[in-house]
Amino acid sequence: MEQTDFSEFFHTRSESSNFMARIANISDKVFETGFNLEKTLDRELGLEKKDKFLVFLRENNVSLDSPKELKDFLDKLQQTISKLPILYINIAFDPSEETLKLLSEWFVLNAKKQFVFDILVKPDLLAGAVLNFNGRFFDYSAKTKFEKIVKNVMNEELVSKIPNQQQSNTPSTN
Amino acid sequence: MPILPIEILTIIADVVIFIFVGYYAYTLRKKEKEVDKIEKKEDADYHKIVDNALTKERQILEDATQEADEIISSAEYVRQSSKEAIDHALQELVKQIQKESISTATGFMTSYSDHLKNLATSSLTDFEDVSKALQADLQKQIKDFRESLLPDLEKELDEYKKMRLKQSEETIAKIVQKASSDIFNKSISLEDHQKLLIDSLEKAKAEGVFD
Repeated sequence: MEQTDFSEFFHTRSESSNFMARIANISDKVFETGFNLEKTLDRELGLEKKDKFLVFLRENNVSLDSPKELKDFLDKLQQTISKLPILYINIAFDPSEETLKLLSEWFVLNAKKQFVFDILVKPDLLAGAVLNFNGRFFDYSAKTKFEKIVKNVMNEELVSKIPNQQQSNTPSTN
Repeated sequence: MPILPIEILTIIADVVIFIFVGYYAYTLRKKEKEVDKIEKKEDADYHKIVDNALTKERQILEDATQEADEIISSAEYVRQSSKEAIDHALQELVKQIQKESISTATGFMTSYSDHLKNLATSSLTDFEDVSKALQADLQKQIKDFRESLLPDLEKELDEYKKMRLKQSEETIAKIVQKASSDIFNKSISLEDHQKLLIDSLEKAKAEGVFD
């Protein structure tokens, strides 16, 4: 299960926490009298994710008729999700669902595992991203370069004008 | 009983009674006349007394009025003569006061102008001394200022100008940066942002960030 892609259910850290809480609710109700998995999934996850989760259960060979097996699987699922690596990303735009999907796919393809994202929108980054992973920062934003360019341009402009101004403003001393 | 003696007695009694009543009435009338006489006499005496009193009263009033007129006349005379005397005295007093005030004012003016002249002379001398000293002191201060303070001031002014210029440059740079950042941010599409994000991840992967 460690290599499983959960991007169909969540992308971000808050989404994963929400999903785990709902899985925990389902797990708590497995042994209740009159437990109906489909109805419970429908209520907790919604129609679309319910179907995907049922497929997920079948792919993992979970017997839906065995409450014990189902509960064990759900508990193990929670543990797996809690161990997923968290990547803190600062970006300059508000990501859409498509952006999150793109990110998840990239990590599954390139890092061979799913990452959970904690995204912070900071427009002053301009473009690119600042990544924080395992306590280390990596700045790939356009902000620093842009500021340097603007500063260079400003300095060139001011230096070209100031010597003329200073000559005219300096009072003559006798 | 025999009736005739009784009737005779009755008639005699009646006559007696009649005589008695007549006598009483006569006596009574006589007394009334006497009383009237007395009353008239007393009335006449009363009027006589009253007339005498009235006559005396008129006399007294006349005497009193006459005396009052005399007193008023004499008082009027006294008032008039007093008024004239007082007016005369006041006029004399005013003339004396005017004379004295003129002489006093003249004396005061003379002494005041003498005093002012002396004061002006001494003040002018003092002022000349003070202004000379002030001039010398001022010249010394100007010299000291030119030699020591002015260079320091010029230096401080230069430093202040440089500092303000630097602050202005920084402010301008911040404004330009902010404006250009806002414009740059708005000019990038969502697709470009996504592409740049993926590029960042590619760089991170190349640097082994996710290993």
